[in-house]
Amino acid sequence: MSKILGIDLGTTNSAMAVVEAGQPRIIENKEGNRTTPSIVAVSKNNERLVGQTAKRQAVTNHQNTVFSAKRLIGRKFLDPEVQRDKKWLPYEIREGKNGGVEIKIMDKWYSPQEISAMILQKLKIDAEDRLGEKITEAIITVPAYFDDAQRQATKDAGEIAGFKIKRIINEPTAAALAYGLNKKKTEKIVVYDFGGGTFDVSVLEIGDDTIEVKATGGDTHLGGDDLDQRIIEYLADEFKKDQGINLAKDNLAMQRLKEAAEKAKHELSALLETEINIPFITQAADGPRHFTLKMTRAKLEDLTRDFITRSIELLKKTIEEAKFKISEINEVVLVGGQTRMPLIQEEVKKLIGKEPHKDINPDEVVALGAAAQAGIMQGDVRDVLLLDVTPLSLGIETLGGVMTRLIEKNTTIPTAKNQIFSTAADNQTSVEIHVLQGEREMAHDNKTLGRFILDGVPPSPRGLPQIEVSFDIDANGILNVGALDKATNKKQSIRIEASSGLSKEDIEKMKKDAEIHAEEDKKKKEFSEIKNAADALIYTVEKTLSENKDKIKEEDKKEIEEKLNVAKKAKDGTDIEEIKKATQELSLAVQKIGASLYNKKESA
Amino acid sequence: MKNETKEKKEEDGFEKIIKECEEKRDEYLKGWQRERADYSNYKKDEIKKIEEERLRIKINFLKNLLPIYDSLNEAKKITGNEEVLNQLENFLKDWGARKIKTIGEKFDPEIHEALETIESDKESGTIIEEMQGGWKIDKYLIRPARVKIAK
Repeated sequence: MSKILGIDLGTTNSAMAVVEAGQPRIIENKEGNRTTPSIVAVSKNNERLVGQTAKRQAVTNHQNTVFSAKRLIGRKFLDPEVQRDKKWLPYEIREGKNGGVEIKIMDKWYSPQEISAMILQKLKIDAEDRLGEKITEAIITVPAYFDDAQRQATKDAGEIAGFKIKRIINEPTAAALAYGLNKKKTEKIVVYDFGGGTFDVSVLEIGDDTIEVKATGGDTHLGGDDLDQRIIEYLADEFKKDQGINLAKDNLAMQRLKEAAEKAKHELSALLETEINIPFITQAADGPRHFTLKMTRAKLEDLTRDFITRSIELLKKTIEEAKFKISEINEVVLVGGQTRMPLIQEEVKKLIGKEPHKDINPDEVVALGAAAQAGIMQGDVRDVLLLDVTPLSLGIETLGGVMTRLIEKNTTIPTAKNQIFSTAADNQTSVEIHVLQGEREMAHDNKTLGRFILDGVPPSPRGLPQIEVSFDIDANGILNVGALDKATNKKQSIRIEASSGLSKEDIEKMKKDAEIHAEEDKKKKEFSEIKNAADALIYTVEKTLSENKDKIKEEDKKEIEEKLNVAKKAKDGTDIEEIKKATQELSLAVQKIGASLYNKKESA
Repeated sequence: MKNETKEKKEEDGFEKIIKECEEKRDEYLKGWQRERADYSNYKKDEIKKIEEERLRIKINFLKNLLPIYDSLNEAKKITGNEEVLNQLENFLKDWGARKIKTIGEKFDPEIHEALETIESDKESGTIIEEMQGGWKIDKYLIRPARVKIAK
């Protein structure tokens, strides 16, 4: 079955995704980027440029470079929105046939759908190139407030680009789909979409198999670009204050300032402070000037707070328009790159009182949702053959009561793994295989699935025998654990039927426990490991001493024995630092005799 | 006679079961083959993706290094010290990075970014001045060259 392309045809940027093996995945464009600027241009030698290349020549060819065509698509020329945009758009527009809009590029007039089609066509070609197959069908997203004419025009654009449009879906619906919220029953969802140039709020209600738009709101002229502009202005002002130079006329300096502003904005989503550093930003009469400035997250928030406050007010208003109480809202979804800003996340959470969904890349969530819709329509073929995963890790208990995992949680079954283990003591003739399930580091904190003993291991020094332990889970979740002594080929095994007999709640509880105890478990495991290392060293030292009785000088022997006793005592204690110290000292002492033994051999 | 019909019926029944079993077997075999093929294709795809990812990391690394090159280039103009710049230039070369040609070339938005147009006696669209150097690695762009072009 050929793939259906999910397309987020945005005002400033577009993205595309397909479902592969049941999972939506973003498709990169030819240039290797996950989003494509929604910009179209025709160059002076009549070459059509779309995306990044169109952007790069915009300055020199602004009358023939078209962006924001989405603001015009399917609208009447006399629409107040169009009249408002006409004032600031650098390209020429006029009233076309049927009262629609026409855009002028190089003396030719195009409809907005033709412009959008050029973007869609680039996406189509790039996707085909990436996937190595023809793509003929697509699902395109539009804002929830788009009327029939705008939806039809978007569909037309898709068809001009050579797609068969399977469906036009709402952007907020796509975002909800990407998070799988369609599977929930009768939920009320708010989608807060702060894009590059537009801000949209949508209130959705999920019914039986339907997602209904209850209200839409926002501001078509509020976006992340406004925040960038604010930062750039601030930086330029600071420079002027500091150096008395106005950068506004210096194109390269302004470009570098813009990049620095975007970078600072991104960094301040993760850090509380960042340093902006642009050496040689401009040339003054007396030499070059540099730009350095420390910017804090608090400063960024001060600069842009009015935009955020406004968006929160619009969010509140839209929920009211849907006639819902804020307390009735079940889920909040964040869309658009700007929602990475911690202040936005906090303010949204403060208003709604719920943790917003933000795990999926907010620049990609709409395209991924469109692809998910395609997946639903195609019906995933693989559903016939349902593959399960092990919900929890499986392993055995090893030296020091540590759980050693053989099969990690979320491994698709059927699967098999094996690993070689050895004995912990000299002349150990049997090993106990203690089969465990869970995520905790220490064996006794996990669930015991079974145990068995493999005996008849020939007496030998510790660490020498090779015991191969194998785990095998079949498609029904039945676990077979085997142990094989490589020397004798003696085998023992156990079959565990109920390896996945845990309820969903049990599994969740076990996972949660592991998270809660992660830190202390790590310490316990570390302690156990250090103790094991001490134990191994003591063993080796004792062995060396007894094997080389005659070759070791008496004073060395005495020192080592002393250190040995200290180490032994420490090992049985609980002070981790003491064990470390004792082990290290013993190790140093024994290195001395190691060297002298070696020397003797050399001279002999 | 009666017995024969019964036997015949039983035989038909067996044949039906065998036929069903064979169909099932074929279905499973096909499914299994498909899985194996999917897996093998997936592996090939993954290898390709890893290679792309490597290239992406490399490009990103070089892209973040270039501003330092720019600064050293500016510093050289003042101090005349070329050593550090040359060292970095060699490093970039070793990594496969190549400078994009600019002055006198025809503007190409695939590799150039226009910041200004200026009056000139040169043919329209010809690059007059390089404001910031651009770099490529093979056919991949690290950073476009920022240029002034003739009106």
